[in-house]
Amino acid sequence: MYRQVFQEEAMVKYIGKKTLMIIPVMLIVSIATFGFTSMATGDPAQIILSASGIKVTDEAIALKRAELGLDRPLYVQYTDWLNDIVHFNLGTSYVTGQPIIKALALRFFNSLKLAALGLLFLVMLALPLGILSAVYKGRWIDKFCKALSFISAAFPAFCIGLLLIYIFGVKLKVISVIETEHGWGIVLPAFTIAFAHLGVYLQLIYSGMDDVLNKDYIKAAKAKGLKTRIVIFRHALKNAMLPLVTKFGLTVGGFIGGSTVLEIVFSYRGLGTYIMDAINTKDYPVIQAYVILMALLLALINLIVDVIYVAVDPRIELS
Amino acid sequence: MLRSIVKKTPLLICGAMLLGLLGGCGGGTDPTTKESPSEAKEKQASGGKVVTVAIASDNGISTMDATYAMTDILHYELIYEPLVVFGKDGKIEPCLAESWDFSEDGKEYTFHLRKGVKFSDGTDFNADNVIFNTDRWAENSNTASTAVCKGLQTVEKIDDYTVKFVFDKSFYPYLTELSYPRPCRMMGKDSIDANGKFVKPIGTGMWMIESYQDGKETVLVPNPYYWGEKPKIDKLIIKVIPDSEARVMALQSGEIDFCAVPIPTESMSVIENDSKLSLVSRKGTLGYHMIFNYDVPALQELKIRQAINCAIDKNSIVDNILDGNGTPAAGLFPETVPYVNSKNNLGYSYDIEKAKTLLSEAGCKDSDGDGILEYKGKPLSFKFVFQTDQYPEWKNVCEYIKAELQDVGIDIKLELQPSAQYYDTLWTSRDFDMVMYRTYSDSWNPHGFLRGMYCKASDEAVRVAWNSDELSEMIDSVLQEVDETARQEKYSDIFEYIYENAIAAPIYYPNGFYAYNKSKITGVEFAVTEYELIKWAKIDTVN
Repeated sequence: MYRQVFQEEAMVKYIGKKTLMIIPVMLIVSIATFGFTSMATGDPAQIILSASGIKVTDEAIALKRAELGLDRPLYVQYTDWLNDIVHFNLGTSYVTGQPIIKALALRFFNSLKLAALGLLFLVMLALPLGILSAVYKGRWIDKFCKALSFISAAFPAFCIGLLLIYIFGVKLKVISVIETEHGWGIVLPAFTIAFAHLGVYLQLIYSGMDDVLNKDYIKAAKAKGLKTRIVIFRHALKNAMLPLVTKFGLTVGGFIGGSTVLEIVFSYRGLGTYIMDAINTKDYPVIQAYVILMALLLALINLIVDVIYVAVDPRIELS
Repeated sequence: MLRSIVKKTPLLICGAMLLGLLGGCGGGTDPTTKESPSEAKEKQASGGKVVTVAIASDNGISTMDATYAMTDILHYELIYEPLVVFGKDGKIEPCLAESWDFSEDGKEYTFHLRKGVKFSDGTDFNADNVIFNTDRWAENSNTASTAVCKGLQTVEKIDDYTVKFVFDKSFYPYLTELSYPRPCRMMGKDSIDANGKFVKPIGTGMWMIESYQDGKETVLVPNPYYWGEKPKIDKLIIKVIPDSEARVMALQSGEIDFCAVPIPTESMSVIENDSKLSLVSRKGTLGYHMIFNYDVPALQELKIRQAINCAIDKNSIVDNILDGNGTPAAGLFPETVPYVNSKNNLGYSYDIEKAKTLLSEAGCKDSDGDGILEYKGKPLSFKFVFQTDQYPEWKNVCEYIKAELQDVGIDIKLELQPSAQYYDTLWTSRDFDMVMYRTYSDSWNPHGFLRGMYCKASDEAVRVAWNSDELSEMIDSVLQEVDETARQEKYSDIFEYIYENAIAAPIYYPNGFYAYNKSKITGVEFAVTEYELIKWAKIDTVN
């Protein structure tokens, strides 16, 4: 009883401490982004003005720089930006002149939707197949899974994506080639993104399960006469999955962060193409907003992963 | 019993997953109709004739200000109109201005505006509106690089349908520049809000925007007040499809009817083999060439530049690398460009022996026997910068050029740069020996390109592609020439100068291949300019 109360209190403290840690992390991340972006070649004013490939005059560039506030010293630009951010203002894009929040929200929810479905596919495929290949090691299902991970690892995702669009969009005509954001259209990009990660997860689950299944306590459980199902799901799976939680957390972040190549192939307006366009035009405010969003998201995911560890594994001490 | 179930589990799970997947992909639509879901939806939604067109990218409705260059160029053409248009062979034809006269010194232009023209919101187009637009050109970073905007001193309203433009100097391309898709097109007053911020595109053009999704699609309907030839269709949908393969597949699946972006060479056979699709070639106004850095001592030597020109087999590049998808270049510009003709479009033909002779005449010798010639003790080794973001075919072309120059003893170090860095190298840092480049196109040729590359604005430190006061003066002189015959002569002199001094190495003139679905649309006719692309009033659906 006492231990439980202590644990809960410690947990709250732990989460609070971890949350506070996010602030300095974000600050460092934002300074680093600002620094690196400004170090990269190209002047946003020039890039925007010469979008049509026509040479622009120095005068035009100077005017544009003043318009965008790029003529201020770098540290002023940074502190002004920081001031906006703490007042929950993400600023406006250099390219569109519009508040970033609107476009970012659309892209974020699109990416979130795709990530959710992609993760669902990934779990639905990787978990049963990974377990089966470990349980039936060396049998045909194991060989099938090995082949599948090989294909998943060897084929670039855009290749799989284009192939699927061709089969289902052009040949069978059951799905739209370009309307991927609504309705059934999202299935193909979600499957493709899941398939790209399937190989790694199959291998990880397989080796994790294989390891655990050879442990003495599993042998003991089996010897006790427990049903195979119970041995696998209650004893082996939980222990095998623990190391996977961290990897999964990163995958969640990666999925939401967006895959530029897949978004281009599927004409999907996600975060990946959004940030790529911003990088190409050196649209600092957009790059900063994206980085802050992603840093926050990853910090949150890490926090959740830590909490899951503590909750699942009582051996972890909080102090 | 239990054992057999456990044994069968993998089979069961696999089966279930397969079923789930197939169900997921096939759900909702009946595959026998052979019509994609969105296609069916569009037909239901509007009873009228709908044509769907694909473009590669778009930055959103907020960037559709007539002076701004960040939106896909086709949008400007469909929504806004200029005072004058760029006609066949560069002839300037009336549009919103019915006629015009100029003063003898070439500094004053009086435009007589077309009467009865209305914007898509029903407001009148008149002299006040022209002044509303020209006022926006002053102190504007988006227009500062365009001579006609920069050189405009005052705009005077003579009466409701007559305006007088007064310029700082005589400059014949002013009219041509007024035809540009941007930044000189006429926008309605309600396009901007009280603070001068752009809110929505209102033009006098053939089309107006019905609905819009940033970066996804623009739905256009005919402007009910349009004064010109009305379109035959009821709706024009422009879809953004960033990937070139996906664009071709959308054509195949019937989701788009016309692809407004050139088809890449590797996809051309797919289109040719599809009985529903048609591939049409359009001769462009672009010329691809190699720029020499005039600060590099070896490249200041005329004979070396001529040798490089002679060492490149342009016919072979077009035949073998581009599969015939282009024309071997003579001079910088193809003959589709105004003032360029078979007499003044001079180039060096492929002659490897001549190249070698020229190099030895220039004093190049391979003294250390490494196969690379030396000029004044330094090896002829050049950094050749190119990009593939906008010009993917340049990679193979540049590799081929490298191999050819190697044969005459010139070493080439290829450097592929991302688009933004490439332009920075070319225009700002100048850290290159040679750059693969292209001329401008359509109404920017030849005057805009020559001026941008070989002259410099008063506030600028260096010229871009060649540093010659003589050439720069020749260009300045032709730009001020009001007499057409004299202008042609001066242009011919400029082209000759460029040829004789070998200040660039022209490679080829690309062709644009465009594809459309002939089972769905007819009347696909190319327009004069690439930004208008096709005559939008002619296009119609099949039945």
